[in-house]
Amino acid sequence: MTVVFTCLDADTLGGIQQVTHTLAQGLAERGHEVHVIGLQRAATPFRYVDRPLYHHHVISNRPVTGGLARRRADRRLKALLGEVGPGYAVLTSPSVVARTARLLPGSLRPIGQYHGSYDHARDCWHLASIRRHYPELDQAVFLSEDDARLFSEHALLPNACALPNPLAAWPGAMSVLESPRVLGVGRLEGVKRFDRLITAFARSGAPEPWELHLVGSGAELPRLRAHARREGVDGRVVFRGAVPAAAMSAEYLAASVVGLTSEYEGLPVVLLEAAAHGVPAVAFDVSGGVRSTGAVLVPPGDVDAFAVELGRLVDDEEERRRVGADARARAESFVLDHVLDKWEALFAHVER
Amino acid sequence: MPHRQYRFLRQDLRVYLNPLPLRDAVWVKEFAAIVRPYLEELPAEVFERVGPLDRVCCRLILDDRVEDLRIAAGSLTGPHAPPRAAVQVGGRTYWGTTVAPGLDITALRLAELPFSASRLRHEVAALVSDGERVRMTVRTYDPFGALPSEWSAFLQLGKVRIPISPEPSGEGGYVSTVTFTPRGRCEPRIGFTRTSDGHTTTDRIIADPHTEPIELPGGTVTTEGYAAYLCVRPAPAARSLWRRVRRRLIKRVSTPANKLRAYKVLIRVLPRRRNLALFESDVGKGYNGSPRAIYEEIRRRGLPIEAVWSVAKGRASFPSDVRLVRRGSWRYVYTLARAGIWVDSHGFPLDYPKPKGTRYLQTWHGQGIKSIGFDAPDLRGDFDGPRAQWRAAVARWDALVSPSAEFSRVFLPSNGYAGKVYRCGTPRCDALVQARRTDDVRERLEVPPGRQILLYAPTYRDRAKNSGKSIRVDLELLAEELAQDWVVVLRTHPVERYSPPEHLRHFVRDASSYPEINELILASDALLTDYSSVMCDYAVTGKPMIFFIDDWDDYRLSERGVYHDLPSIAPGPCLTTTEDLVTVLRALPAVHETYAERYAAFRDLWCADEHGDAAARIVTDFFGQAAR
Repeated sequence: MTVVFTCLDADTLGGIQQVTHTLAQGLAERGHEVHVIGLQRAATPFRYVDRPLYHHHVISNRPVTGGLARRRADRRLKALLGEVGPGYAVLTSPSVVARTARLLPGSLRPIGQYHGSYDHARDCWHLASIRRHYPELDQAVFLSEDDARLFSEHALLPNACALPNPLAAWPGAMSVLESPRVLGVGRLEGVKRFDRLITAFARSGAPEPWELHLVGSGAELPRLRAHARREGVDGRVVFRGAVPAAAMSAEYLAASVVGLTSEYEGLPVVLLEAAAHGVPAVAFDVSGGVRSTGAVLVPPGDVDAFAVELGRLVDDEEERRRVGADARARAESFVLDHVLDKWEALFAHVER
Repeated sequence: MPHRQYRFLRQDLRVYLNPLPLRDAVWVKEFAAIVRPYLEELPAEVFERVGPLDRVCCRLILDDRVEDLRIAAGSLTGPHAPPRAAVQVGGRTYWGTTVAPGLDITALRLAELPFSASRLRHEVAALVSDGERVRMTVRTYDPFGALPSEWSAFLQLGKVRIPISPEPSGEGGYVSTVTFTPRGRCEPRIGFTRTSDGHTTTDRIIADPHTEPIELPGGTVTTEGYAAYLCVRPAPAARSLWRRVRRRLIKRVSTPANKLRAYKVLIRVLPRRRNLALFESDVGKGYNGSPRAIYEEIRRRGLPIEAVWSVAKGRASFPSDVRLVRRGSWRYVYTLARAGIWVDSHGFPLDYPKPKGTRYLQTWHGQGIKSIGFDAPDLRGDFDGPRAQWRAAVARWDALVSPSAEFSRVFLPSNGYAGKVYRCGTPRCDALVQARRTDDVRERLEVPPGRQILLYAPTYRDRAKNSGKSIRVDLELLAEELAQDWVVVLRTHPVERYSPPEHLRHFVRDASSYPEINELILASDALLTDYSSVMCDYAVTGKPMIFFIDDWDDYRLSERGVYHDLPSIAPGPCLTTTEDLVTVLRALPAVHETYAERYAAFRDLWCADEHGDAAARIVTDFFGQAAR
């Protein structure tokens, strides 16, 4: 059986891409023929899988602008899709669905994914696009049951179902939760709202040896530095820059609490990985995905309440162990094998 | 049981009442006979829960008044025509010519409407074709005595007005005969203009739903709806091939993308005209705001600057001597490319790069507590596209008007702007500082003497634009409690859409399309708002302000985000219920007194730079070079 994953940009550093490559490798290991198609080449490619067992294609060398270039690219994509055997096409975002769904040959059954939360879709053009294009697909896949329900209600989808993101690896060791370190992971971009995490850290009353480590790089760095200075914690906020995927496990093992203050989150890989390492997390209750990870939940945007919860975990090692162990138990359902089983069940369901 | 009875009146009965004007008298009589026994069983409180006109219909069924019932049912749908007659006794209004408890329609407030919203009933008495024209006799009823002694009348067909001369008829009301040629698509209305002040009221013309359509070359005169009203529908004309091809061609060529392409070529080949200035306010919505203040200052000084205003729709607010160009048209694209000076308050089309040599004065349109720029919801999403676009758009600005130090502190970093800043107040607020009025708001909005004006100006909600959901005060309760002393002038945000229901129009004046908010601010006695930037302008006047913030936590935390804690800086009471609002409004001077200190602090924060000469100073600096 053939599975084709289509991304707008398959090799940039990001959540959609990480999930796609993890799934592709996993399905390929189970003996399926898997293709990953990027509609455009990444500006700075990132290698997710060392020795991929799947085929990898890039359609255009730069973002297509104008009708002629679009038509040429569409012709190349159509030819490529015509060559692969009968199976399933997983379209990973609304823009990919809008562009690709009509180019698929009859032998490929279309499955549309959405990697954001319902709230994010509602606040941008995604909801309208999903309402318009997803009902015609064989399946529309969302990150949690809550999201699937909201989308089927508000985007009038008859075909919505929930399928979580996988954890790429299951760590053997758990964090000992003794180092005085709060961890934040993500691109330093506006949507991640690390300014709130810095404020919450400053207001949490975490005593002196405690530090906030932010892993990731991005354009917000100077603004965040200035913000930390204003909050009076510039000495205790450490900007770590980007860390290679292989070294992330060590980061979680060295942390005692993870904080997530994004404006929007779908099913954040950060929370899954933190949970797998037994690290307790505090997060804004912004989606069904966040709720499913076992993090301590705070009303969206309420920085003061976030600070209180953060302070509580910082102060109480026993509580950290309890929340962390609970999260790790929950994270087992996100192990790659379980998620792959669900994908295979989904394919079987579409076939029927 | 009472719920089922209520549902019968509200739903089941309405299914039969709505199309009642279509039925003949025998059918209606039989229908009334079938329903009557059940209605007789119902307790009085069930009738209290439905609308006044439903109640009137029930009363007429119980009294077996078949012809009256058909007329009353005709007011339930369509144009909601007023009755032929009404009686006003002791402050209450009754349907028809008799006073009975079941016929009380006071709650519709039809008798208290201002003249321009008042209701007259126009019925077609005869409609015949006369060659290519139509001859129509109309009976006009004035059940609430809205017409003054001096008036003139007309028949309105689309934009055409045909004068008519209604004659008093024997049985009260007026009869007019008019001959007209139907053309185009319209719903004819009859209008009356009050001679004393020029206010006009119009109403649709209702007709027997069985009226035979009259087909004429110009169009068909027919009726529509259960409670049928007269309408003119054009005859389907075959469009010529040439017109169809041309239309198709224009549609193909005049796309936004092509215009942008043409613009990019134009700015490379065309030289700039140093003295040509393009003005735009509120994305072309009108002639107002700071661009207007700057434009008027230029005119006043007689500077040799040729100004063109961009207009989206609604040209009525512009003075007749202003040169206009439609926003988004080819001429607009050309003017953008040619003008040496751009002045606007929101942003010229974001993806249009600024040509070399053009100078762009960004006046912005408000300051306040709301999050802005990269912190606002439309740029907070997980895409870089819109953020990059806004960054490029901000980079076009050559000068920015900053109303206050607080504005500079918040706005500059959140928009990534580092260019020149004018810190000498807001041109828009000059008129407020000088208390310069040009318009009689009370007269224009028909505010009766002796009533105070409460300006209600809520801001929009980002997740519910154009939904009317920003009006969160219970206007019905407010009307009940305060209609004797106050009138609410409702100014919604430009991206909000709301029209007050008819039973509130005696109390609420819709000023959403009023050309200039400064006039409303100056004419009002107090401001009611939530998070709108109007609070900072209003503080200039020193008049009382009230804040209705029942969704503060939602707005602050998840919907929009704010920079300031409103309850702790607000120069007036922050309320969450309409009951509290009523209490505060009853004791407003005393309440306002207690906030004196915070009011002064609020003015210091936002209005310290407002001295009434902002436009003059900015024009001297920014336009000085162009004029030389």
